[in-house]
Amino acid sequence: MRCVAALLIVVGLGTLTLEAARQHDIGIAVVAASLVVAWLAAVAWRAPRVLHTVALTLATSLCAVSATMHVSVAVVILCLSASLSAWDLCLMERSTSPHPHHATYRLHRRYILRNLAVLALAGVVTAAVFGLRFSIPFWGAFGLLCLCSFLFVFVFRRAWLLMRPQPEPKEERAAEPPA
Amino acid sequence: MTATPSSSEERKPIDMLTAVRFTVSFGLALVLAVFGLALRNLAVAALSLCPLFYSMTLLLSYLALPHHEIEARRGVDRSRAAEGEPIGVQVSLATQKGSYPMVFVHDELPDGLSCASGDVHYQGPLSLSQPRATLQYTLEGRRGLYDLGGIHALVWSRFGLALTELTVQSPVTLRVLPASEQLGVIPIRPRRTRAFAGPIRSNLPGVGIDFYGCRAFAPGDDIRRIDWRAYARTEELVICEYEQERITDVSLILDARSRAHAAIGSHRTFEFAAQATASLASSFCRQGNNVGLLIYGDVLNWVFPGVGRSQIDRIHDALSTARLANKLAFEDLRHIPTRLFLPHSQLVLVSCHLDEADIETLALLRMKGYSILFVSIDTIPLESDQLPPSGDTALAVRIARLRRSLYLQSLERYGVQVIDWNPTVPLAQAIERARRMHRRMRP
Repeated sequence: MRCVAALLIVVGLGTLTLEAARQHDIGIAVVAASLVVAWLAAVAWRAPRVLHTVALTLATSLCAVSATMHVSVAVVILCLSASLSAWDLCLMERSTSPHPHHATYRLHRRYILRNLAVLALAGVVTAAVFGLRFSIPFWGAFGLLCLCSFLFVFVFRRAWLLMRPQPEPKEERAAEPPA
Repeated sequence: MTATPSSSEERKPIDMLTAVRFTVSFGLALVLAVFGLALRNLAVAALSLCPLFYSMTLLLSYLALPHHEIEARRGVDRSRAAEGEPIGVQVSLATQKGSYPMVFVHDELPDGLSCASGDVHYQGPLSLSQPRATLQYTLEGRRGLYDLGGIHALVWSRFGLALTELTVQSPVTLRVLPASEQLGVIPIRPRRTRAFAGPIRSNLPGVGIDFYGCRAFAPGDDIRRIDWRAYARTEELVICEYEQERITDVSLILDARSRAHAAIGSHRTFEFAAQATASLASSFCRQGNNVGLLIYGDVLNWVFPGVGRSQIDRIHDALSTARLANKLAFEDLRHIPTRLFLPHSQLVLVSCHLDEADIETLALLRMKGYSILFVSIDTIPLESDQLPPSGDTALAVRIARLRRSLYLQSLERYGVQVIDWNPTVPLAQAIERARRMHRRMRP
């Protein structure tokens, strides 16, 4: 899993680095290259999950900035999908690492295939939306922003309530016999 | 032996991980959407679709996770085994209500136990239509008492990225006893023996094999025991007497003080001591003696003397849980509670430590009337193997040997019988050598 994650990091952020360098956006290229090195080091040394999450956040920010700087849309989507996939694999690898490799080989293979399939599909959906090319007025954007925020908060609250581990019920103490 | 089936399940932190994955990806999607809409940059806003699609897939696959109960039944072919003996384990898994498209089951083994053959993992579906999924493997372990507890199962949804972990309890307790070897007759000479026949020479005339002495014929003596050759020479009736052989009381003392043992490379000298004690206990019990055990070092771990097969089991059980301890109260051998031992009985001390204070204590016990057999574990060969060969090492080994032989000779002068055991050879060999020496030294 870690090897695939490293490969995805190199492919995603590496492509962004090359594309930014080709378009003479040296700042983005340098930051992306640094992020590749740092994240690969984190993967190699089995860094805590929080470091992988920080790396993903940086990669996403870099993708957003690249999108505003008119870097190729396909490269940005590839970078974001690959980063998300690599982050997911790094997190899941730590959960199954106590088991021996020969036992988890099939499990890892199955998970990697699903992960790549889901994020490839996500990339295709994003690219399809990019292809629509429509403009939006200010109040339309503001209304969409409010609606999105409301929907996000609503969905998140429901999902969080569903997913969070339920606290174990406390055992009621039996009534003590009267002295 | 089969554990009762159990289906009690506990949610694991992997659920928390799913929540974290969902939160992070969903949060990134929100930030990108807000950022893009605030800038009125649709390219940035559209980037939020990628993490949004991922988080929604995660959420849907989490909702699709089956939550049926898994029933596990763990059976072992024996609950007690000696070190090196395989223990067959069979775990059968089934679900009563629904089916799981994919489960990854791992029977977690405690430290000290290892899988000798078979596999402790299972991957595959678990459904109502299929027969039970089974794990079959054999275990081997180090001396100790082990609780096989939870069976971990990673459960997958039919599609998507979510998975959850269940722990199914099916408790079984296994006891790994110290390895013991078959020993011959151990040369002990206690001052007091019991009334029943056994292999220990009792220093009393009677029926036996070894010649004891001669005396004048007295009315009532068996005429078959008259020495006719002596009568031909002296014309006096002389009776030949033989030494009676009886059983005796043996108290084994296992030295479990931390300072008396060491870890030399991969070897633990305490394990050698436990194995020697187990072998001696089996041998003494099989000869019919009344055998007790004191594990000296931790709390007062005393196995009351007894006879027979069940006593061997009791002693081996106590040895399986014996551990080193560093208690001030038991720092010296002089605190051995002698009131536990019968007067004039045989004490057998197993240790690999010897110093002046211990020699003094053993001499005092000898003066109190106890017969003492000291099984001394020689760790010098093991230690010298760990050191690089050089002149200094050779000198150090020589000094250690001289010091050790000096201490052992002091003990022998006090009347303590010594078996010097090099743990790289079988204990039976050391006992045989001691027996030959004992015969040679007999008047």
